[in-house]
Amino acid sequence: MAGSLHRSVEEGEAVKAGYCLKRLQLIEIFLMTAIYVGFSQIVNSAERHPDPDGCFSCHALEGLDYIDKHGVLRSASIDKKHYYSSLHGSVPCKDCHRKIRNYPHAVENVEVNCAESCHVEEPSEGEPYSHKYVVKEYESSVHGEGWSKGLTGGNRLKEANQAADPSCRYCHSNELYIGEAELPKFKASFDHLDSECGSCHQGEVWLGQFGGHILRRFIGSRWDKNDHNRMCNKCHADHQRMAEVELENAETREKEKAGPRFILASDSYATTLHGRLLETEVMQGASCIDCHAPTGFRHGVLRDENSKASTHADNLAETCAQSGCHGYATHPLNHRFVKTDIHDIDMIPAVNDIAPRDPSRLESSWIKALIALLPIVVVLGIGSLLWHFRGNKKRGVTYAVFGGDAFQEKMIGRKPKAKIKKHTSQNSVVEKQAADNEAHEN
Amino acid sequence: MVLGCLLCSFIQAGPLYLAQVKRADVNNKVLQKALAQVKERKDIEVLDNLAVMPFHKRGVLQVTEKLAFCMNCHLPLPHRKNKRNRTFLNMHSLYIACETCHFRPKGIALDYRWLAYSGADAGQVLSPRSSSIRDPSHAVGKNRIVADSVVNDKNGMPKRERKNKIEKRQLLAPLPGARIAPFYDGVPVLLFKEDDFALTTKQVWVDGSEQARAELKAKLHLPLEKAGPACKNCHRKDQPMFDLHRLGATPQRLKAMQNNTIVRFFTRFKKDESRIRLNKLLR
Repeated sequence: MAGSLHRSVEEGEAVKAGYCLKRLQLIEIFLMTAIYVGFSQIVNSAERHPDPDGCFSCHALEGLDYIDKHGVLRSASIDKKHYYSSLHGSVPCKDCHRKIRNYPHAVENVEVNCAESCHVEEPSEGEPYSHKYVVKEYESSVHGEGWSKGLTGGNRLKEANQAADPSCRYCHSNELYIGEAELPKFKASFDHLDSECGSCHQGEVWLGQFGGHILRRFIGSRWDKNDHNRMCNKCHADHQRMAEVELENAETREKEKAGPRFILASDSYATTLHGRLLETEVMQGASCIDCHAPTGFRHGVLRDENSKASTHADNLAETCAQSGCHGYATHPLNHRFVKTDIHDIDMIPAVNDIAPRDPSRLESSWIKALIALLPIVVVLGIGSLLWHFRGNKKRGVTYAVFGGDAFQEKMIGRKPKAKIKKHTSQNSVVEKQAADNEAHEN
Repeated sequence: MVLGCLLCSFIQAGPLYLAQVKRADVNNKVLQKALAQVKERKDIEVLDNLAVMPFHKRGVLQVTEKLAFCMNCHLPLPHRKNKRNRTFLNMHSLYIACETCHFRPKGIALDYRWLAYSGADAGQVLSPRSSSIRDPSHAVGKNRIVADSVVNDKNGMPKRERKNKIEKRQLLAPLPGARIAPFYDGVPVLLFKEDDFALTTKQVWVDGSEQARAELKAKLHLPLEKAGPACKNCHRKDQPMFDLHRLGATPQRLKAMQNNTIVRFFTRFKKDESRIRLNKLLR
């Protein structure tokens, strides 16, 4: 009995020890899993270096520069840290420079086509990311003859000298997610970034690229309206360049040199309320593309004559009414509102070296108003002159040559001119009689 | 004749290169070749800041206070023709003097040291940096101002970057713009652009006829070698051209230079014009 009891106690202890062991094993497994998961998470979210082809083995070296046969300073160096923190930081080099196989690289293998898709997935659809839709819109725009493919470092000079329309790279470069100018603002807003996010997301690249990508949303969009205008003004404020532009005549279909209205478009815009608001950093003003490419990928600038253009006469009311701007513009009673000329060259002083006496200035509303007001101005001018030279100036008071008695009497409370004249003549008669009497007495 | 008189006045205890120029015996063949080159020569205007800017962020071309005598005629990035190595050679010209590669007189042992091209010590010999961890502001690449979104600590060092990584990335130069230059008897063998001889030579070139220019060119180039040493002459363990360790390379840095992947890749090229598949870079 005692023996069986002893055995059962031993068995119970053995079972208990077994449970303890199993529990320890479970804890061990749990801890191992936790450690593994923890470390693997850190590793997964650590630096991401998209250089599967080893391009940075050479291109990360600084000073890989030379001067080509045209005298253009060329550089094969890519600042690795900048690149990884840039807009294209996730894109492997060969996604753009597709045909590179050999060294030295053949020029034709380096060419970039901006409409190609790359190996980065567009997050919402999971499709390969591409600029092809933007390029399509750009190609159908007024700038569509610009270069969007065949881009190399070596043909920048050719493009600068020959291409009339801006290419993709003319306006866009591989910038940082957070521009230099905004960096202090960003650092001040997210000074805790390193200690908070950096516990798991380690490395400069994460901070520069992914951290930047997410957190810059908190400090506003990457380009503001003034940035857009600066981009347009890079060409459109250049009178010399604009004077070389040839535009197709809507009626004759022939190319003609652009007129003063086109050449001075940037200047005339700058005189409008829109331009002046933005100049003073008041973002309620409309930028160039707010009117010329308000929808889509904002690359589809079209000629005013094109019925699809946002600036076509039939679409102007919608364009002005967009984004809660001039909502009343669509009301039939306000249809004249859209007739306001935003690019009225008469707003530009005639001393401007571009077309100071251009006939188109005569069509301006300012000139029409002047013609209507000129006769009145002339009449008033003559009247003023007469008043000045012929008016009664006695006692330091000037009276109108004709009329004005009621005004003098009721509004100013002065004796009217007629009464003064009468009073004066009566006084002179009395004075004359007194003088005569005095003479007679003598 | 003009050049002869010119040399006599400058040769007193001058650099070795000058002495070699004086001794140079230009034969007719060399002179004719020089004359042809003078006739073909076209001044090149360096174009930068084009309306179409480079797509990728680019650094600023390094300019030192002192310029090599060669820069009287040659561009600041002198290597232009060989597509394979021109950029790499220009990169080396940022920390190696022209004369180190192109002035290698036979039978004369030269000593290689750091020479300052900028700052208060410009023209002076510099001691190699002894510390294995260097102030990053002294890296040669610092001239390339790069704005980034990296958080730096109070010393301006990127946070969390490991010390050995910094060390590996940095170049050896003890000061920005310093170059490894050849010395003979403790004196630099080279000349600077603003030296009296260089200025006078320039005037001779400007005033001289094509024939006089050709004579000058031939004389100045005779002590020089057109082709520099092969990559392997420096990037190797056994008897490299100069003692990199003595010039301040840490063991880690030295190993990286001796086993350089790009140098190994370049040894595969048998002809200048040949192209090699990039995947061989990894083998």
